[in-house]
Amino acid sequence: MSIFRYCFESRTDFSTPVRDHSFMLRSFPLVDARQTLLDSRLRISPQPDSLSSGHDCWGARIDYGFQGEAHSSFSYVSEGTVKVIPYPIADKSPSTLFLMESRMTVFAAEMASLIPEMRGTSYEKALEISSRVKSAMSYVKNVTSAETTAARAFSLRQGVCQDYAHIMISVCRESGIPARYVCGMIPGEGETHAWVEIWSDGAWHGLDPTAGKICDDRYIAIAKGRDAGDCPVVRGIFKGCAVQSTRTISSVEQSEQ
Amino acid sequence: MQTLIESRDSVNRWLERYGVRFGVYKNGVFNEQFFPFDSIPRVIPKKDWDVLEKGLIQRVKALNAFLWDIYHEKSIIKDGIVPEEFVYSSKGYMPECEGIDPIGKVYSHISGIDLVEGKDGNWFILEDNLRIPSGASYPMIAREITRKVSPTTFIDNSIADNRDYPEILKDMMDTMNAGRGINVILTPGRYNSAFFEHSYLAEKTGAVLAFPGDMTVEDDIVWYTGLYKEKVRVGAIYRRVSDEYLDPLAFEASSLLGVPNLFQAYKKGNVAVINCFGNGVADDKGIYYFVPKMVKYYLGEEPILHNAPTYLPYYKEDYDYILANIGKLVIKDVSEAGGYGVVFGRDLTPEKLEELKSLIVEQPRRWIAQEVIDFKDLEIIDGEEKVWRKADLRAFVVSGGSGANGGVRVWKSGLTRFSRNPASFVVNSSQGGGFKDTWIMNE
Repeated sequence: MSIFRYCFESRTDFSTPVRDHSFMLRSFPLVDARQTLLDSRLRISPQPDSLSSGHDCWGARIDYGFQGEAHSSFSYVSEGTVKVIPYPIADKSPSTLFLMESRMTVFAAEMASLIPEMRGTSYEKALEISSRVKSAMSYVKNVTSAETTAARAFSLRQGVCQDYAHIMISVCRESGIPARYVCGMIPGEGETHAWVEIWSDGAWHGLDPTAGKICDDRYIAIAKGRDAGDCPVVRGIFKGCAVQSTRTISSVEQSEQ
Repeated sequence: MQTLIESRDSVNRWLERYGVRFGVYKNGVFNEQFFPFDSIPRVIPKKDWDVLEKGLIQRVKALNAFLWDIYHEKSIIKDGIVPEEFVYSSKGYMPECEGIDPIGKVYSHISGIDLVEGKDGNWFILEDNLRIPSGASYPMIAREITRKVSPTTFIDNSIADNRDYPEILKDMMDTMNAGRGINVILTPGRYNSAFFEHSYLAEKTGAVLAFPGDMTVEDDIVWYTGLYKEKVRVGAIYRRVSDEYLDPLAFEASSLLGVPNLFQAYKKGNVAVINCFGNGVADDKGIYYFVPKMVKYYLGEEPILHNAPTYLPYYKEDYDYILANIGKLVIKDVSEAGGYGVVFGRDLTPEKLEELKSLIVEQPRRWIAQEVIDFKDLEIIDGEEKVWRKADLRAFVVSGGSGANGGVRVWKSGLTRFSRNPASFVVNSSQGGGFKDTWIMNE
């Protein structure tokens, strides 16, 4: 078990003021069998006209609201303390949904080379898939975007953690292994990270194809879903003609063991 | 009656003046088409209608029960009636809707059920439309005009009055309305294929016609601001925008047609969304096969109306049958809508048939096959002569109203569409063709 202090900051600047700004944030560590939130705070600036909270259908906390008045920046800070225990997460029967192709994880014939022919448990196969994804891909920023699909990223053989996770999910599902996408934080990363949970023998296990390793208790999940499309950390829509630039920083520090 | 038939051209001129059109996007170009009216009505005798009415109410009740079940207990899956992969692989299934309780447990408030009448007089269900079935405005306005052009026709014949559709809709919207807000009809805008219908229904039901950007959500309540920037609470939204574009923060982020955070307000029960989110799972072409089973399962009744004989390649027996008989079947791609993705085996060359077979072998879940129904032709006027054309009927079933039958009513009218091309069996307005008035007889 580990306890972490986390701080997630995001600031968006608009080139000209915008108004009627609706937003939705996913900025809290997910509360589940693996994670307990000890304390948490969210501050949004400027103070929105309305702010509500709830959970998405995968259990992640959502905070959403509306800012009517013209404003030229939008920023928020989410911080607190979270207790994390190691994987696995017990689950007797995973939803069949995690075996189905999702929009961003459609399997491409080209990815067949990543399917392991070996015998073994789903966990062992998933480990093999994870390492094949890592060796097939090169970590390169700014060649893919948030909208890039698994098939596209694989054809480029380049991408970031989101792309690695999508490719691994696609290959796992094609191999009959339930898999889901996780968006979260790890110490020392400085921005959000993405990894994969696969289901084997009655439990979900965390695997990180980008780092080529098994997730330990330093992986703090924020949101989960079929693919990255289910886990945006911030979304907004506003009226105005402005160029926006967003800067996001996350810091995670271990506070005690 | 003769005056009515002779009045075809003047009715069509009136329709044109009213702007009764529909738009079609083809190869990225928007074209508006006139939807031609044929003045020979389809006549449905009372005894036939009585059966149709009971059968449609039964079917829609079962479909609503199915939607509730799929997004809650899923007992129909657990009991092995519907295989789970049909549900989870359906494009219309939305995990976001899990556990949400829509007002009155009604999902499909306005259902458009497409039927055909066989040569033997039996009716078959072709398709259920539970998302945004359009087309009610055409028979409404055509009747309005024909009553003016030939008033005696409606005095001499005992035809059910169909001018009550706005009342039926309004009663349903009022019954579903949350927090005594206003009723709105949300249109994607001027360039939507059914914009005429949106504005016409708003006018007739007294609902506000809202455009994208007219509504905001604050504290899980939907507000209409519109032109005057005066905030009014919205209680019911008859939306004509599809699920994925309806809330850019919950679904398709690039959508400019939706209302941000509408999904959260809906989830809290603070607004009725008509029809609900997630209905696509029940009108999927693959799920269609299971609707008669739903009627038995949820209502404990024998289905009154029958599906066209349908085969699912998912089942071994059906798979073998389809591959052996593909030449005489109609094959439908479950992921396509609007008359697209429908192929008749008899129209294909042997090579194309083999190609189709291999597609079915590859992805059995993607296809369904049906026997070709020899459906009854209806007479239409083509120039100076009468000719026969294939026709179907879209019946409108409204659920969630205040009346008897659990608030489910079938509108005593419907949209009869016919194909323009004499050889075509596909009757869909986006594929050409026209429409007729549908007379439900009172005696």
